[in-house]
Amino acid sequence: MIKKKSAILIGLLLLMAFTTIHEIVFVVPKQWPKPVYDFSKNPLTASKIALGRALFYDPILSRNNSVSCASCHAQYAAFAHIDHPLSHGIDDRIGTRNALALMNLAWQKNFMWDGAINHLDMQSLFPITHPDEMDEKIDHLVNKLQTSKIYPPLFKKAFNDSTVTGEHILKAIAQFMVSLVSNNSKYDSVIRKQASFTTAENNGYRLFKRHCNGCHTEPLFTNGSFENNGLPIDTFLNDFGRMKVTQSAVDSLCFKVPTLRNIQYSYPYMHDGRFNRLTEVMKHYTSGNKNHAATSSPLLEKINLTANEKVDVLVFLLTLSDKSFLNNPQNAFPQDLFLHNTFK
Amino acid sequence: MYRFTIVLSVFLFSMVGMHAQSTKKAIIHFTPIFGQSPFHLNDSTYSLQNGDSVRFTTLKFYISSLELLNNNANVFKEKNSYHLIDLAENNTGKYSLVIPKALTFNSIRFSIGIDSSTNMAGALGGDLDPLKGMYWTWQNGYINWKIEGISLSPHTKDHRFQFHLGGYQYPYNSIQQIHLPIHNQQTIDIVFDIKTLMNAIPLATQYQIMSPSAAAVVLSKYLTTICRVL
Repeated sequence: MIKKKSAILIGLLLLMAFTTIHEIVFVVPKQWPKPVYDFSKNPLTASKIALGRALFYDPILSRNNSVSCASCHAQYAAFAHIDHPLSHGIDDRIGTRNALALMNLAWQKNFMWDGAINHLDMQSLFPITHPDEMDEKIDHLVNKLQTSKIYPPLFKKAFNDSTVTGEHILKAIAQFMVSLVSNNSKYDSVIRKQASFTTAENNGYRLFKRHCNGCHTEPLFTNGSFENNGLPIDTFLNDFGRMKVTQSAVDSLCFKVPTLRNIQYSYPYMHDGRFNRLTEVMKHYTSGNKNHAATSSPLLEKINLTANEKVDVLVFLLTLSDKSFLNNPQNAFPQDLFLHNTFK
Repeated sequence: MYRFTIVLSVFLFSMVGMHAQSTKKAIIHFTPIFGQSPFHLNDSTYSLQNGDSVRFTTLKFYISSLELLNNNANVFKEKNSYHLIDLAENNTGKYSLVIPKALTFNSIRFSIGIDSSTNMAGALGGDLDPLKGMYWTWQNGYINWKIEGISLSPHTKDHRFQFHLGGYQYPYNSIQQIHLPIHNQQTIDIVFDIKTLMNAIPLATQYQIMSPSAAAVVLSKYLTTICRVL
């Protein structure tokens, strides 16, 4: 009897502990790998995600309060920057690489086209401080947030501390970023046996698995590696990719394999945004017109596809589009927060 | 239920008892010096071996993983042992370790810089908060040692030199471990002789390091030769 009572007491205590911190469990879609992101170091809560979302959409992150993360990572473009081959920052400055689409980041172990960033928490520091992006200083940003009307209460709610710190800014933005999960495309429905491919999609999927899946591996449609896909170097940018990070010649012209999820919306393509259309990308991989000397081995040979097969692969790629992700109100500009504070 | 309460109380009291174990404090004092002179930023001008004069504008560095040893065996490890020493912040460089009263030790070990697992641990607070200006944002990692100043030798804008030493990945891992014998157990005065460091750098040709590199590793290794216990 005593044992039973103490068990109940312990149970109640545990329950209280859990309910007071409002922890959210990160849902891993069925058959997806274990996330890389260590949630034990930054437990997900609704209030931290909300703070991160506010920061993501707020131009206060830039030196002159003009550009936000969302300026180059628009929800309608799967959080990429439509029509901008190279990232477009403060004072109309142009960067050297294409803004990557943001989704399923909890499964990614390093970030940027060259993997220079080793942890999702630290990723946002790069655009915030880069002179061609937001050109802000982190201590100045802390000061701006601390003296704003809306942020100290949001930090208090999220971290039980209204004092703004670099650590808490970064952890909150990381929480919003991990919450951007895209797993509701037609492809996902087919895998879950809730829908079926058309004949063309099915044929495209078969060809995809034979020729593309090695690097753009299901279900994330990237294996996270860095490859040289044979693009001739742009002699204006002279960007050698991952070699700059590792200082190793084998990484020359290697860039991150990007996910193909929502590829329909995240144009232009490649690290320098040189291709506007998927048909151009297809042409690159299926023609012999490549910088062969340094190309990663799986891509040494051109992929042989007939005209019809190319169309089928493209049709399959469109099944990776996830409209619910692009329209998810939880990922959108937080109107309630900003409009309320601006106009009332 | 009563029995449970009693068990809980006994448990809590024993926790308190453990905490009340008699302790003492060991004061550790990290001080940069310049040869025989005290080290100051901005106002003081110092002479180098080659006749050049030098003035410093920044000196910041991390001390981590503090531990005490007795005859080379570890007897005490500081928890969350990360300390940023920043001369511009009126930082005294003075830390006290609360250690068991009976503890005897005859050497101290610590690192200059931040270990690789902490470098890859995501956003951290306190002295490790990136807003402290000791974190590379364009290619992640902590700057272990930052020294900047002005000297006539470098042909740079305003004759400035800057050395940001860091890097946690092979082959450019620049963290350095220091192990020094101790004579006094209450106050441990550790000095860093900046003169020895600056005399080793040919400022006319080497005036800037801002990324993990072979040169950063060479200079970082040199840091191990500039510390001693007073």
